[in-house]
Amino acid sequence: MNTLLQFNGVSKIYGNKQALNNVTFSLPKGKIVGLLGPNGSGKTTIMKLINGLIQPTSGTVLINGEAPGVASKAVISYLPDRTYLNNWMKVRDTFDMFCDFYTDFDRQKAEEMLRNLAIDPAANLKSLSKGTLEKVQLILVMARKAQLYLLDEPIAGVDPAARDYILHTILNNYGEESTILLSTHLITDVESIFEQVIFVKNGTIDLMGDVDEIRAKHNKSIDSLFREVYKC
Amino acid sequence: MLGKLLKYEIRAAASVMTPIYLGVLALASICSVCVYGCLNNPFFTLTAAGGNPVLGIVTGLSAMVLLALVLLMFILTAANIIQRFFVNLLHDESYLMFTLPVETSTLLLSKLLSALFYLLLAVVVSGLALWIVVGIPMMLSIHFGLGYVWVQMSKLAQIFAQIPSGGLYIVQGVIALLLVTTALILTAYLAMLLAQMPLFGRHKILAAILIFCLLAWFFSFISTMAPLGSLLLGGMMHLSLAGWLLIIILAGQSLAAFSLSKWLMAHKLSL
Repeated sequence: MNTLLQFNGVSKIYGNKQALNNVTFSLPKGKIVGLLGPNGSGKTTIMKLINGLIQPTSGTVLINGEAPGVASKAVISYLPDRTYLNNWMKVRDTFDMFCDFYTDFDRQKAEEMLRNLAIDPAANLKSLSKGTLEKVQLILVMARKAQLYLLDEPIAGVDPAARDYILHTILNNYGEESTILLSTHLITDVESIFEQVIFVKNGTIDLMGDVDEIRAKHNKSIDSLFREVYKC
Repeated sequence: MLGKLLKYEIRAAASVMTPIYLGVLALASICSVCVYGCLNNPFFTLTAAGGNPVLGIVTGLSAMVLLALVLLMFILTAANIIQRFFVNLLHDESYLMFTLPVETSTLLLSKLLSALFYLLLAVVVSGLALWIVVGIPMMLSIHFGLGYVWVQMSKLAQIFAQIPSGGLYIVQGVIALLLVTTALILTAYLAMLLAQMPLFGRHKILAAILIFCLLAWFFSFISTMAPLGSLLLGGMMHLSLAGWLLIIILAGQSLAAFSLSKWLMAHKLSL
């Protein structure tokens, strides 16, 4: 079975707002996939549904053929678009916590990444800047040997140097069998790493496919196509 | 996984609560020295601190501060229970907690058990403070001494032994107290979860307080059925039967609040 993730006719309504409308797609193992769309298009909702943080109004989400649950959470490594660490902890406490709960967490790798960034493992999370906290989170997420990495806007709001570091960390730390689903609206910096892209617009899938095929078919880069599709 | 969750949950509250516990015990020790000074004065009477007004004032003041600190300890414990649930499961930290490979019921249970642990610890610290302030000075006093304390405690035990089924009432009382606390904590959790529903919009805190008051009133109303039930079943006011009925009702309330909270966390939360 090569399919890792499957969305079957998934809709999500928040109050009277339709966030997703009958979304159907599937992702194979071992791909880097870009989830592209402007703010409010439904990218984060897709990420949350995969994680089981929210439930679909209709349709089904399957990871390895099963609904989101304890088994899927053990194989998904999620980087949300916000700081989610317990702020009473020190950096090393977060490593302890990931060691305790995730059997695929590679502590040695995490400590090495921490050393490269000169972050003190004994530092209180409260004392760290937002940028450093985001780096700690990225280290925690990428130090796992997960089957599916969900990275929600990892390069939004960071300077170009940090952007390079983040992409470098992502590309150097995922396994060949793993799939990365990376959501962003900043295409230029990440286009080169994607093998597949999904264009989300107003809660629906507007375009999906292999990056090389899309480029050949439309005779333009993904970034140019994005600007055309989402032209205001 | 429950043990691991509890480890982090208890550590999270420890940084806030430990200084308070140490403060209570330190102040109790100061108070104890003052009380000892009063009791050991050769002119000591039960109505005056041996004619030493300064010692009397210091003792009274330290006792009042200690009482305030004990009250603060319980208020902070309750606030911490609510804050931990809100911040950890309904705010940004929930993105980590709900993506850990653990069942929703385990998450909820870890919160409940750590809350009970800290409440119990507050009770133990209060008891210890009382013993330091009253018990130790009395045992060491030239007027009372260890023998006096022992005699008084024996008298108390004898009075208690004369009450029919006294032991049973104690067991029932402890179980009921534990269940009342459990039901209250779970009601607070349930109220916070219900207040997250889109119906309440931005007024989540106000909604949580109102829902908690309503649920607490409803649960206490149901609890009044215990003496009524015992009257119907026993034919007369039967204390132990009323006790068991109360325990069953409280256990039912706790179970209902736990199940509903778990369902809301798994199906209705919009994080």
